[in-house]
Amino acid sequence: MVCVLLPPYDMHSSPLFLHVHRIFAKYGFLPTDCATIFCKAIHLVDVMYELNYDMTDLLIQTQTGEIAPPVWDAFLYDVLIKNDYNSAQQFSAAVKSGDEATKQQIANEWYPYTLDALKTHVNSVLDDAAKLTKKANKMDLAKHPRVPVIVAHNQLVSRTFGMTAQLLEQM
Amino acid sequence: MHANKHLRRRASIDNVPICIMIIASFISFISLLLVTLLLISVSAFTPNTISNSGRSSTSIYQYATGTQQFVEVTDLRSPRDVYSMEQWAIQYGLQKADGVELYSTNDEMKDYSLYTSTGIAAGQTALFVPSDIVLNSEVIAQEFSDGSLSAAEESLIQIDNQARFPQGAEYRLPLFRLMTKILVEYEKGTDSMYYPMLNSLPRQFYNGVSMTKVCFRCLPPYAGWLTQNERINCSHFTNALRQGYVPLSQETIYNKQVTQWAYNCALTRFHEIYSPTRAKLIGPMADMINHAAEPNCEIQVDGNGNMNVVSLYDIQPNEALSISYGEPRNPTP
Repeated sequence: MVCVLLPPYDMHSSPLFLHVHRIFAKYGFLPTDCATIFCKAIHLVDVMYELNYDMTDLLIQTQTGEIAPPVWDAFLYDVLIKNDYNSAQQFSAAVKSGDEATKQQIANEWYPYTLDALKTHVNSVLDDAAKLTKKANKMDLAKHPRVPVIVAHNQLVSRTFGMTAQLLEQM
Repeated sequence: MHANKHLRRRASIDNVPICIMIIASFISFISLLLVTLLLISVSAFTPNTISNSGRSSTSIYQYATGTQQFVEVTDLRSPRDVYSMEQWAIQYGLQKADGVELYSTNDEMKDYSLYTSTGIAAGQTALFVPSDIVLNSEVIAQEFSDGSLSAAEESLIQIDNQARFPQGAEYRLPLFRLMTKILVEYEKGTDSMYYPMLNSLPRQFYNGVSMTKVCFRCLPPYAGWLTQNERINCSHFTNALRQGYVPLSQETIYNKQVTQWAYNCALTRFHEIYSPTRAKLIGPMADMINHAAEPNCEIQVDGNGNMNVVSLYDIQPNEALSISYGEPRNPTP
């Protein structure tokens, strides 16, 4: 079992940003009109903070499935750390300083690997969401009155990441 | 001796003026009449079952108040008395714009919010909640001047440190203060000035604190982590209170349903401010406004801690009031 120690989430929220998962955890309902959701790459939390990003930067559009640029950066940086330490250092410095030219150069060079890592993650999330929804639907509603909101959450994830998977396949 | 006494009394009576005797007789008659009326009225409003014995009457009286004294939070079906709360709040100075009313958002009468029947112009105050009835974490900290709350807060920080949440405990103290205050007022039952407010709060929640292990197993890792985090926070708060610094009864702090209810009420109903100091506030009725991605109202808090729900733009008649539950960044991280 992987234990992910995350900082208190209250400290990483953007101005007036609506974090759908936090709303879900805190209030027990799902804002269906939310524009974005977290990309769910909690295995990249360390990477995210090294690049001075937080969870409110790593987003996916719920209407289109489009991936925010910081998500691409985080996945690329993770690939670089595992394969090319010098490039990783260069990329990290470029992200922090806003050196778009260097960022783009490294991104182009490692694009197939980044794309592959993203596809793997997105497909994994889709598989998990489908299995978990199936499991939730088997539960007795009388004993577990929170099943509908859990299913709604998982369906939002499936819908959004489904669109993302299609976009990635077209790349 | 007896004869002499009798004679002396007879003589003393003979010496009293007749008018005084008449007044005394009248007073005696009135007293007798009042006592009789009192007895009749008592028997008229007292059930036969408890009129035979003063002791049984007292026992039944205590039982009757005992069942009604505390907010019923263990029965999830117990109704929320939002309209008594509204009357109570108005007595304390709550003001609503014309046409602003409570309404139930579902058939089971478990969720309530506010709407305007007449419409509200942009910039108008839809609801004013005076600080007297606002639960304010900063004010609560001052109320516990005996050090009991700060001792419990120290316990919470230690518990969080042991659980490796070193940055989180102090950040969550305003929430802890709200939860503590709710429990303290809950224990006072109907003696609490906040009883109508507490009795209007929901009993059933659907958030992470309320979820079971089975629920967590049906969520993806990130959502599962967030929801479990709420449960852990609640557990840490409760454990801190169980250290015994804050004067709360064992019955209260070892009743999981009560402590979870208090935590959930604090967690789901606060409005946060960052100036002049960071604080969390629960304002009766203002806490009932639902979320919208594009809200038509916002909550403003003045320097005295009064809460104003102000319309952001013209709100049409029969439109629900809404605010954003989005979390603004802490300006002093």
